[in-house]
Amino acid sequence: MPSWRKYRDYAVKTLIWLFASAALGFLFWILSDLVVNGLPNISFDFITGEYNEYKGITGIAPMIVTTLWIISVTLIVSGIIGVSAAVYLAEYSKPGPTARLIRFALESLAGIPSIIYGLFGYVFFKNMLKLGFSILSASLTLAVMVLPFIIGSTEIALRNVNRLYRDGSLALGATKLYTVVNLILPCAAPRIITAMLLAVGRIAGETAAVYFTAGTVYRYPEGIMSSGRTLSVHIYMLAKETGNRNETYASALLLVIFISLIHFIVNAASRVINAEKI
Amino acid sequence: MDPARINLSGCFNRMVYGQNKRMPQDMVKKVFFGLVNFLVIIIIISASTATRNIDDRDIKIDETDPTPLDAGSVLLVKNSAVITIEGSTSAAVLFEVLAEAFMEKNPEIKVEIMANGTNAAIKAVRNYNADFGMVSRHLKANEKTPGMKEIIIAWDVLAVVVNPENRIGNLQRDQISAIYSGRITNWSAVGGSDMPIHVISREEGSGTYQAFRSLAGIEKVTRSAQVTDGNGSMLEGVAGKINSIGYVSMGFINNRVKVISIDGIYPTKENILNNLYTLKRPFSLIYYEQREKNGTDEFIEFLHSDEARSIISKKYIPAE
Amino acid sequence: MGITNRKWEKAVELIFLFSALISVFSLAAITVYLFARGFPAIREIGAINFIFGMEWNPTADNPSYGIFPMIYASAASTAGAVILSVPVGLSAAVLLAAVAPSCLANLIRPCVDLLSSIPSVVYGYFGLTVIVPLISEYLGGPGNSLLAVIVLLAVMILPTIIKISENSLRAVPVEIIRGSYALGATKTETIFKVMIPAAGTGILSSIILGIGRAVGETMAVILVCGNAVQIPRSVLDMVRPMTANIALEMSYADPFHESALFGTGIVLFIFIAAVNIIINILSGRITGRNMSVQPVLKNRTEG
Repeated sequence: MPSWRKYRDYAVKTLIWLFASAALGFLFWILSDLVVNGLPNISFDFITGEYNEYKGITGIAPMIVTTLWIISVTLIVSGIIGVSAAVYLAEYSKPGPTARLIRFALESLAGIPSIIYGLFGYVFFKNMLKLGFSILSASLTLAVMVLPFIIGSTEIALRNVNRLYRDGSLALGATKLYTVVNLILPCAAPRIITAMLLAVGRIAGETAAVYFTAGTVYRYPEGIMSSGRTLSVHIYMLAKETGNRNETYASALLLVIFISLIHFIVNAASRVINAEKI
Repeated sequence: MDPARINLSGCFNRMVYGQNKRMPQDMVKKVFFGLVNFLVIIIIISASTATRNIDDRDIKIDETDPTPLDAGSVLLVKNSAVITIEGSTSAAVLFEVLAEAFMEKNPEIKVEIMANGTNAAIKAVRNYNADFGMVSRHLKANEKTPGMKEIIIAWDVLAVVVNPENRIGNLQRDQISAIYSGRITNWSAVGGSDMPIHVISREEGSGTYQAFRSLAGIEKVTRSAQVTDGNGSMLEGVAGKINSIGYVSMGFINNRVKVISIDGIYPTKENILNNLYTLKRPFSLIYYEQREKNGTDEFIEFLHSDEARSIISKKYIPAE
Repeated sequence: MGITNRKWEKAVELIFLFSALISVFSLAAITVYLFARGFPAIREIGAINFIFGMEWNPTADNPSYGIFPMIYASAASTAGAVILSVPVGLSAAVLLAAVAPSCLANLIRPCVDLLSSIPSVVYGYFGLTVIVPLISEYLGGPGNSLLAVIVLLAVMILPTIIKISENSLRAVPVEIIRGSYALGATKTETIFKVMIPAAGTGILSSIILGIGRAVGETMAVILVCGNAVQIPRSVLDMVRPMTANIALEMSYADPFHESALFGTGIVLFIFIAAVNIIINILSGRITGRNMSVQPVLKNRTEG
């Protein structure tokens, strides 16, 4: 081999390492900035306290509660619709215009940016259906937003279930519905649940769509009809309204910890699931 | 349909190409026709529904005075233990805290606050949809009707701020106006060091922006001004750039920026209450004197109490 | 029994079908409502004045509603982010898929996940407090700039590009890689002349997803872009992309102003559709000549 090719090889490899470590370097830059500025400001009072600019208290408990509310309502709505839709696509649909239309809609929805979902939720759920700024408005908006993701992942999960189970069940005289509900869904359940968890990460991190639909009131929500401020909206409001770095960094660090925890659980779970080879 | 095909490889792929994996060359035309069709259909649909869907927030105020209803008939329809307040979003933040403190003292009275803008507040009070309206500017003459009272609760003071390292400490009002209009672009023109002025303003439509523009007499903010989305980002911008100028509500001032005087007058409490410092807007309540007595008197009384004044003075100047 | 059972089966199938059709209804509703709310303003302003107008002054006495500088800003920031992000992301993907020893790759992969689990508003705040002052200090200008937006967006779309590109690089059949080595090619020659072309479709779709995310990103952008409505003369000038315009002014807008903001949403919507179509056509040209390996995507990252 001529030596210049060898040198070129080394040069390109170095370049690859350099670029890749630039990406990693940026990650550690952000994380260290978050930890250095955020960690000293996280305290028990901060996590469990209420927030009120006038009383000078800067807790984030109401924001955490609102975030959990929105996550649960969104998952319930998008979970039911998403799994049913995926069952239809994976088990019932035949290639044809209906299936094509549905897939087109899903792909388009996946490409729409969250701010457009925010505008849609604002007009449709808040104004048209008169839900107002509320957890319900926000959850329905987010449910539409994560639907393509949940349907896509669930469909993959359903299709990964061994063909033989299905054929065996049908051969034993079970109906299609019975097979789907009692055999295929339970087999696919672990993967469906990990998909839901990933959706949780996305819901918790979403700001634009929630800002337009749930409002920015920083009190404990009383139910799904009350307005509220999620943690991510809270970070935005702190950044734009108060200029107080300590609490903003602390909230940001907590949110990042929450979402990355979810991602690590998902990764660990996926490894187990793949090892079992359902 | 194998699982590998679920991935997103472009919005319109599947619709147009169906089960084909790759895009054949002769399909290129169809993409465009498909898109054009799609848009045309949507535009037709929306044009036909467009006019119907314009918001219910249309807030024109009719010129005819509504005849004040007699208090008795109002009493019949309303729950007597609920006070409803509508109005300005910026004032609402203050009034929510005041209402909370009030409800702690008077648990039998409930105060409901809706932040929907000053114009909506005037409309709601005139139509007897709300007991009080929160207004964050002085009422215009044609907005007042006989019997409508306006009490100023607090002053929201706008401070003009620069970077602490800037040696400018005072500006004339017309200098501020010239800087924000883009007629003065260098600090040396107003007695500072030779550096370009970085103008920071607020988003169009925000109460602070409108108040500042009308109070400082600015016709049009220069196009090269940075636009921030809140008091916090404004402070961040002014603190981060030595040559910048901005304006914030007094309650948000921190030690990372320097407040300057205007025409030699600093925004101190005395100067504000004496009307010497003019960059201020009122947060006031409007209501009809002739109204149902469902705790509204207690609320007005509370607003003048020491407790309310101490809450107000956290961010604003309580009115005398 | 059999008959009722069959009816029941049919009913449930219809419910499943209806659930699947909800996505279609949603897409239709989103499009119709967006257009219904934005179209009146565009009609009144005039589509040409709206799209090519250079002045945006909705609350002036003589209001003007032109969004061309914002369209330009969206395009410029997205293009910049992709140019910055693709070499880095592709390098990282190549590193994970072919170059790094597997133990190291297993360490790096969670880091990529970590990068994708940082929400956009946190990126925005980091940009506001760290990147903006840095730019202002070392490169001059206000700091809130097109450059700050580009850097943030580039980092935000990195995980998408890395993950999907890595998956498609791994999906390249091992036979053709061994064939390349057998013919005497070096590692990098194999990577660049065999693996990357073979994984072309997957890499391209990762870039498309990245572009989609960059164009639609709002919260990170609004905090660092400076929001001045102007055509930037350099990357150090302030910009206002379309998404920032919508989020910035919605909360105080009067009905007509609000309609103009929805109009901005329409343009954004069409902009994204157009980018997708153009890239699809280009990708048809590129991958049409090469062998293409469809990537197997286990987890689709957010787009």
